[in-house]
Amino acid sequence: MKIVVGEWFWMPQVGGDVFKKLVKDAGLKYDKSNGFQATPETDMRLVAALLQSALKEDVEVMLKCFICGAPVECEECRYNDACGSTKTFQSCICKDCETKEVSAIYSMRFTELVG
Amino acid sequence: MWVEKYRPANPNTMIGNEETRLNFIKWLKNWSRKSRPALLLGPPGVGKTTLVHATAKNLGFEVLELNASDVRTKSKLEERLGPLRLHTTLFEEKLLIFLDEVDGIYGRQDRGGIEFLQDLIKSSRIPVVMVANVEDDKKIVKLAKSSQVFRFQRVPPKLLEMVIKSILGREGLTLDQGTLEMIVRDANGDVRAAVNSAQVAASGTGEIVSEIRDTQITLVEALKIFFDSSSSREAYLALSSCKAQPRDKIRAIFQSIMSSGVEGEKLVKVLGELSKADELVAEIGRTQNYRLLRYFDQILANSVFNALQGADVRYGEESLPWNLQLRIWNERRQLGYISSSLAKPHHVSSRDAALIYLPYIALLSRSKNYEVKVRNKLRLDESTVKVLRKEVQRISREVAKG
Ligand SMILES: [Zn+2]
Repeated sequence: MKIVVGEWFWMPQVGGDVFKKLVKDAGLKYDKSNGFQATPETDMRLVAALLQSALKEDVEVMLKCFICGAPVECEECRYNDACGSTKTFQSCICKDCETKEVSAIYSMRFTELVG
Repeated sequence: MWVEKYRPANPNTMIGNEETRLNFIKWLKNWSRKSRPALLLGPPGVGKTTLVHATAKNLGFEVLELNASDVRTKSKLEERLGPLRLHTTLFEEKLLIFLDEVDGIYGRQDRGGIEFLQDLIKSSRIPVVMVANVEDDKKIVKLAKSSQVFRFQRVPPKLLEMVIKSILGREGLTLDQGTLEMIVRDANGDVRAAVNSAQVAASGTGEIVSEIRDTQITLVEALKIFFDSSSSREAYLALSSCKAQPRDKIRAIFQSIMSSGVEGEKLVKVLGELSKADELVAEIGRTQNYRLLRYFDQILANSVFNALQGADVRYGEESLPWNLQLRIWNERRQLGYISSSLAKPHHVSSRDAALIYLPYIALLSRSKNYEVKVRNKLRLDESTVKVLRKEVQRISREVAKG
């Protein structure tokens, strides 16, 4: 399964025990109507390990592009190997947004959010 | 060093940990006495300390930084924090207590120190911000429970690359893509490490100009850098790298300001700040609490840097006769105020007002009637009038001597 850091998502039934560990130990956010969300408080390594053993399938963690909000495709990134499978970052920059002015645009996007 | 030169002065121009950064800015913006203290947790080199300074500066807070690694026992902590709490009345500005490397305290055995710290944090009337690198520590876990935690993660490689490229661009230097990627990989999410490696690689020789705070510089050199600083942190580094006496530093800043012709409200404000710094030195001498001296450079740098925003001051020591400088120094607050009050109606600079008009006004005000008029017109308070009267006596004596 894929988890995009910062986005709400649902997962198949994992059982009370795993659910408890995900929320209490790994700090995964849970909300009845929205589902689950990985936040800066979340231990993504633990989430991935718990889900991998409970669901018997690979867990792919994806980051959102801080500038445009799209999920960042890691396969084509030159740093794919450096990030590892459980990317413990809050966001990244997608290929389309990597222009010459990326540095300035990145700061402007943050300034917008500060309001 | 590039890490100092390009240290963001504004939280909006930092990189990585976007959500945490936003949350921390909101915390300080909305701080009230009911707010819990902030605890910034995460790996080294990702900008925790920089965020505290930059956000504080951006929101108009003055930072009182305490390096917790030195504070090991209750008595030491009390000695350092106690007087500081009293001294907060010295400042009209918003103030923030910053405990960097708080794991230093919690790594020690002394429970008294920890309890006292917790008391201080609970009772503080000003925001308290703590920073720690470790988080598995049991004591930090306990501290986290009574704090609002802001968790930091490593900075992703693409953002590290982005910031290095941006610095190289501003330095007019380049690195080949292979070297760049190697630096980014080696840094492992640590911005400070990435920028340092990039500086080493780009300088070619493997040597870095030593950081200014590691070198001793003269007062003249320190002030040249001080007035050239683009951030209060840089200004602080310049001041603290010079071992001159606190009073000499104040005096030298004062002389430079007078000879640079700072005017009006700015002059009043900066003279006020210098007075406060001077009072602090006096207070330290009176109470013999010399430990407070370690905060002196920071307080002086912050307050003067903020008061001088936008003014063009160069290092200088001449241009005003020494005896006039001495008088202005001795009665700096009132004279600063009088000069700026006089400058407006007379359409002159406040420096000229101080030089030319002041003695005449003072002399004329010997007539009680005129004094009342001057007082009302210029809205002078009692202490200012006292200075004026003294000025009158001085000039009268000189006139009598012929
Ligand atoms: Zn994008």
